[in-house]
Amino acid sequence: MRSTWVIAKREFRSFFDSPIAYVAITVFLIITGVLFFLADDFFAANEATLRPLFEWVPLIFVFYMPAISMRLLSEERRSGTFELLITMPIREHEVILGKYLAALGFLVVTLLLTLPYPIIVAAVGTPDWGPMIGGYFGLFLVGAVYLGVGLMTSAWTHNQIISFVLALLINGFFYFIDKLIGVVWAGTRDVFAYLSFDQHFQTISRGVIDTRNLVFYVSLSAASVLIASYSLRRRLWKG
Amino acid sequence: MDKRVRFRTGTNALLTLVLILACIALVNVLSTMFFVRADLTENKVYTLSEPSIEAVRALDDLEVRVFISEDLPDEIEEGWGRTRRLRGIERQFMDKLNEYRSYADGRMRLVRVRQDIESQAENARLRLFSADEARVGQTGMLEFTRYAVGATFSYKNITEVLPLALDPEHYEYEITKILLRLRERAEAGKLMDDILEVGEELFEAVGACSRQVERATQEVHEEGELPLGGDDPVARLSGQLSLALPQIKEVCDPLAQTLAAVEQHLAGRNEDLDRLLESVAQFVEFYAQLEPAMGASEPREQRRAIQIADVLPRILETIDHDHELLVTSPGRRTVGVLCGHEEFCPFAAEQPFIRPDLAQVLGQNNPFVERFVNQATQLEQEINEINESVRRGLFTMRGFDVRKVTPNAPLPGDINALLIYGPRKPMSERMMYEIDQFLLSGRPVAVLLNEWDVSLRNYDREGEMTRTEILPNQSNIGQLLESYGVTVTGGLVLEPERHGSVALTEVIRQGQLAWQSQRDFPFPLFPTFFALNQEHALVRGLSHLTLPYAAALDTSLAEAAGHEVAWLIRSSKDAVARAGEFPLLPPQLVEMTRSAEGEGPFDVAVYVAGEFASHFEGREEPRFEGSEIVEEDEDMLAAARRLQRGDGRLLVIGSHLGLENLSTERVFEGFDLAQLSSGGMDFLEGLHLYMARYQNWRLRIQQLGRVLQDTVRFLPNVMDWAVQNEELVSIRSKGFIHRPLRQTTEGQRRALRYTGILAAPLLFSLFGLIRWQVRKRRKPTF
Repeated sequence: MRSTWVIAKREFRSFFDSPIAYVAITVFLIITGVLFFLADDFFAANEATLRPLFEWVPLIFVFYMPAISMRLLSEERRSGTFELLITMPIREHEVILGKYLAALGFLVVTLLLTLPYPIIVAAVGTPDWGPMIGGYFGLFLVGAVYLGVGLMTSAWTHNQIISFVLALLINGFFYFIDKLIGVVWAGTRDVFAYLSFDQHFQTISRGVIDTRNLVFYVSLSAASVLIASYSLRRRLWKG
Repeated sequence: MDKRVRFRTGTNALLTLVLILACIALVNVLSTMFFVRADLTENKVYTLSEPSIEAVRALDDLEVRVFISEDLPDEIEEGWGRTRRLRGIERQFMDKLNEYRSYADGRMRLVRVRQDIESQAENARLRLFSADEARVGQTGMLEFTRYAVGATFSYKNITEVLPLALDPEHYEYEITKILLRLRERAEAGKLMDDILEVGEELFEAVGACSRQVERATQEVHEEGELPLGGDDPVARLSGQLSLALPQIKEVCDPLAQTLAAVEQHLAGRNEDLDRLLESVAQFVEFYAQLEPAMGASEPREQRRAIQIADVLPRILETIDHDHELLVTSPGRRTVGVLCGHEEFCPFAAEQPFIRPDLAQVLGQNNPFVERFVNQATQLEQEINEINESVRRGLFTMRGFDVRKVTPNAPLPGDINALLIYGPRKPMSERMMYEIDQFLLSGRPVAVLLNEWDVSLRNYDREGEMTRTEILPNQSNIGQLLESYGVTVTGGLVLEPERHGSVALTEVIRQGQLAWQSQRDFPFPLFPTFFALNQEHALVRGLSHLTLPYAAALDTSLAEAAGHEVAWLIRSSKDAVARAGEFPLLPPQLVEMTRSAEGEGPFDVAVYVAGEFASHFEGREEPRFEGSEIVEEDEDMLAAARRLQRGDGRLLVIGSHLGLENLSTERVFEGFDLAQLSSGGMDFLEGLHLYMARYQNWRLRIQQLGRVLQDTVRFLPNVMDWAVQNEELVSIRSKGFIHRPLRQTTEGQRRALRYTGILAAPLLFSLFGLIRWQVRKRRKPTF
């Protein structure tokens, strides 16, 4: 566990050692800010709520999270530092978990930097804090799954671009899956509806924390991290 | 590593992975069965409240049948460019019902209908809806797929229907209302078991008879048998009817006897049963004509038989409606809505504006009259449709039973509460007497005031925008209220900082071009009140409310009389009250209000209860206009019934919530039928005026914009108070929360907007640059 923590800290710091994190977060904040304050025109809507933000961000995360996670393992493997890492007395799953925790840290920083929005909303209105807390919690959970998927695809390939595209496709599939419900076989509709990220997120962003949604997001995150760990181990065995 | 060992290790790892993934899937499946929820919302919008729990526990054997279509669309069009999202609605509806079940301690059964859902739902009187996309059906015609989301609730042979459940925020309100209604019906139904039983018996008998006749007309002859009457469809149908005559007689003949027996024993005991008996009598009358015509050989009689056979199912529809009214009557509470004084009165006119036969005659010789009649009739139709649709939307679809109370007639005896909604014209002494006696009899009276007629850029008869003006309305309701201790002070309340916006149309000119544009202006005459008495169910749970053109109220007389007095909605200290002439254009009004010194707080909605003295105490009972002198003994009887004092409940709201009268009487005020036959053309000019009045009504609604959405959502609270469903008010208020932004200047908004967009990214980038510089300096140089 200690090794995991060390890797997480190292990885988290490395995010902010390069300008990529600053550029990515800045672009993310400008896009969300423009969408929230200009496109949806918060003041014209005249409602003290962050709901429009919570409608946009999960979609932005479909692109943003793979961009963050694509380098987690692919970069190390491309540059050969991964071989160095595994010669150390640590196990693959500790490496994976450490990197995942670092990415979660990055996600938390991203979300914290959007706090001026609720502050502005509270300054000009009296919002219900329940849906806001729920919305942020939901964004963290959605982001965590997207990062897990990104980590998983990053473990599959040396190439960051391929990792990004694969993660984008998988995340996009889960985001838009409920749009397919009308066209799939009736017997699978319940499964498709259950797998929809958006549907689970909607409940949480209303301000209702439901164990079903928690279990869904946590289990998907866990599954993707496990698959990432397995993929890595398999590649090592293959040499 | 040995190849075999690598293979074994790999297989083991893969198996472990598969096993773990299977466990994850299992956990997900289990989580859908066993789950807990935490509701973080301020008003616990998604958690059952105590009245709901009590309501479900009060019913000891409740069956809920749930109808949810399998392939619901993602969203549906709701008209006016609005869409309703349906994704996840099934789960939300089931969750809510399951929550009730969990509190019911095993006394509630939940049955999900899985087969033939839509047709079963339709039979159960659910309201089916369709998505906007039509499909080509089996017949090759375009069909709209219909969907069902709703439930029926059955308790002790009584069934209540939740016809359409598309609004998760109101599930609790809707379901609890049904549960309370079931209990009320069960309790009240005990007292009228015989009436309900007879009603059921009659309904079944009429239905059987109608079905028998219908079957006879639809019967297809077996193959090989020559159709009776050959190719002539009339003779053929008549032949079929005569063939089925014995069966029809067997089923239908006892109907007249049953009806006579019921009329003898129960007529006059219940208004709903009387209505049903009337419809059944009509059915019996038609059947009596059908019987001789069925066996006739003359073509005329045969045609008559077929016509009657066609009419019977239509009468059955009326009987079905009357039967439904009777079945749902136990415990039903009806609210009377006073009309006839230019109040908000959402009922279609009972009489046509111009009698159709007269219109036809008048229009025959004069094409201008014909044009006038056509346009006026079209306008009248539009007004009636709007009123019907407003009544359905505001009252019927929300489960409120409302009845029109006409002036110059006694108040109906079966109304449980009275709504006086913004009268603009004075009422007769007798009408006031009727209201007075109604209040003193202990039944609730809700009064919404409309003290001033505020015109903001209305249209005149030439279609031009007029100047703004404010004129006092002529209502005398204030005199009546003063008797019960509530004084309408006459001033309209203006809030300098907290108010809604008025949507005004402005003409923008640029060179030769001119166009109209709608813009929102802050408007202190739409004051937003944040002081709401949380101890009173009517406003409990609401954070604020905007009441357009709210008049200030004073209850010191009621307090002095020792009545129970509660303020419900109160202005801020900064508010001012103005009457008479003052600037109405928004910028000037804002300036005037802000520069004035605060005069508040003012009460704008109050509740008074207690033993009231009659407004007519010590005075003679007024008579209806045009009524003749009554007999002495009748007069004595009325005097004996007259109440001098009585316990009453009175709710007074200083605003009409933005809803004003739209009626043919008001729109066509000043019209004289003689104009059409006089040979002049004055009536055409009048038409412009009538159109302008109608347009002005629409314009006022548009000007209210968003304010109206909020106030209209508050109206059901008033209705629930009136029918004494106060526990429901608090449930509804949970879902009724609009949280508007505080008033800010354009400069402040711009500053906040760009702070929101740029502050965090700039600061973060700056932090990155500083960090980069620090790291660069620390880096050893060689």
